[in-house]
Amino acid sequence: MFELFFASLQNILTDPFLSTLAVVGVFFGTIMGAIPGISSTMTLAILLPVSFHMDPETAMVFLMAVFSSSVFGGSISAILMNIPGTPGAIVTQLDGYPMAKKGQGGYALTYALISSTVGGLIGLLLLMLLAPIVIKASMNFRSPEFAMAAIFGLTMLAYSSPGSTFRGIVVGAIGILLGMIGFDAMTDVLRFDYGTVFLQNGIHLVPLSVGLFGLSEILKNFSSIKDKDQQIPKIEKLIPPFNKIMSLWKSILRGSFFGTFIGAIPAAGSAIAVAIAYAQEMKLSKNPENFGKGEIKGISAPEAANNACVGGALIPMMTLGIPGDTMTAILMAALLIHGLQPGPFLFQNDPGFVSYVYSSLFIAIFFTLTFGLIMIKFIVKLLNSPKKIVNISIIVLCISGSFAIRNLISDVYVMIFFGLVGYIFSLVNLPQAPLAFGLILGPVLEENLRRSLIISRGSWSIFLERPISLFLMIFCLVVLLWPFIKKIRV
Amino acid sequence: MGIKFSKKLEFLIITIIFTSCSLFGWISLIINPSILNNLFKSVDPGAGLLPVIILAFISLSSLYFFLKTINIVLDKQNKKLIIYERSNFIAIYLFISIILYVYLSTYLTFIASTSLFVILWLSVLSTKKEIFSMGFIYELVSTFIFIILIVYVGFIKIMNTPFP
Repeated sequence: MFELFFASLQNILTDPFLSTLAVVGVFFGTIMGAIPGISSTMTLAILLPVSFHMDPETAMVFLMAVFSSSVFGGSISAILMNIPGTPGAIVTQLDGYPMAKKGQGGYALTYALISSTVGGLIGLLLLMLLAPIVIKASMNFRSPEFAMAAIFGLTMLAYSSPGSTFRGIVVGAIGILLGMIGFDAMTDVLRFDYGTVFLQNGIHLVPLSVGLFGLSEILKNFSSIKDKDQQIPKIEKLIPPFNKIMSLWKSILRGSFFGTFIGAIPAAGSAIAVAIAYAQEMKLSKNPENFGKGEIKGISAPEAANNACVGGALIPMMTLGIPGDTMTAILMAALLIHGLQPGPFLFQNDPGFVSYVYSSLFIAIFFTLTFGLIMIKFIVKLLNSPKKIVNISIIVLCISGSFAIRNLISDVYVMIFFGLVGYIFSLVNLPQAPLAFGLILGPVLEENLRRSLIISRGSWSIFLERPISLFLMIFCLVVLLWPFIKKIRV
Repeated sequence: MGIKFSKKLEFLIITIIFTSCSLFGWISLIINPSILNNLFKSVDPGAGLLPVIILAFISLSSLYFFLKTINIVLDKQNKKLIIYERSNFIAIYLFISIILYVYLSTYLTFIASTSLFVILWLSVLSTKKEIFSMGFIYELVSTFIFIILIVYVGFIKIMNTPFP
């Protein structure tokens, strides 16, 4: 794998188009991630249609650059404005913003950038080392295990979604229902089409994602728009003393390991990883009272965890075909659009592509470090521009992107519809992410459920007879019943 | 702060959403029952198995939320259904204008429609004082150039997107 990794790395770096594309991805990812109200998921969803006309390897170079850099971008607004650009940057603001208020915003950003880079690289290394082990284990997976793994992914997402687990599960079921619209993959039977060509084509994942994670967020932004935009302090010095950077290595390492392993749990998400990394640093610190007042370890550990999550979240997505979070769900959508099904067979049939994913992530991390420092002052200027301009530009991007997928105006209406759905869901406290997860995992679940029943000649006991399938089933049941168990205990 | 629904309205809307989804599925199955032909009749359960399971689950969930809504409605506390703020209407106007924008783009061309709505949105989101200042013209020109550049270079030139 490492040979292929270096070969693809060389290919990307020596190809001017691919290198430029990675730089463009880092540029847009960092800027959009830095803008409050535009999450990494939203950035990835909006820019996903751009990759639609590229070949899979080129698309990965671009999307990985956007993915990785937008995670760091989220920290910029957290440090300078006290508003996290992404959920993973929620802890960074606790110590980053007090530093910015003291006139050390530039230092805080550099600490964040260095920690992000090391965290990202450790996450990638662990991904490369752990993926073959998971693949080896998953080689014993058959249809019952894959069906249960899909249910496991949905259950974990529903459990970790804000609000109740039950609501998340029902929304996930609606996502599965939406995924069944159109032709059945196994029998070519039409379902839920109402005799219309529009529904026969099925619900395309990209307009749904752009609407759900892009347009709905813009509608929310306009609902809570402030009369005056916050002014950001000027950045003076960027490079902190070398000995201070070196003193952070333990925090960065700890944060990176937390990030990778928590990120690898489907749907656990970066917000949990950064919170644990921060709490751990505080616990181990000799001066815990400094946390929240501009302690640099309070920036480095969560930032490392946040970026290590990228590699961690890719482990279940690449090896089992279960997205680790909403961002990897969109990445998985990109793979599916290009006809690639993530999972053990991808490693077996197309190891070259897998190595492209790894090297794209490596380049994204490296370019984010390089251009992040150069771009910081420019981003500060951009963050000072009125939010309405940014929001209007994103509306036009959402519409153009949705149209560009298949050159169909109906896709734009689908995007607008799901924008409204996402907005209403947020008003009534229904989680949005399970809808997209259901759409992605629904076909995997159905295909493997039916195959399992064919193998067992219609007997449902097949799911109980196989140990991994049984374990996943019990785990899902415990997760689903946990709220009731807690109530009973209380 | 944006729109905030009362618990009563929240449960009512959730019930409507879940019921609509289950009705969408069940009606389609009634219209086209051939999907269910293989169900319980052969080793391959066919294309009807998962739809039936999922629809049954969504239907039961909507029933649960319906009962919960009734329970909340019967409880006479908290009569207020919805809390509005000025900015809420901006989101509603914006949503309607986006539909109009897409609809008009098929008649006026995409570029013309974009230009028109960028001016409209910027005007709605600015105060009267801002509209009659030079700053507004700078904002308008810079937004317009930025958007057209992205649409023209990114989508029309690089991706060959045939916009209306």
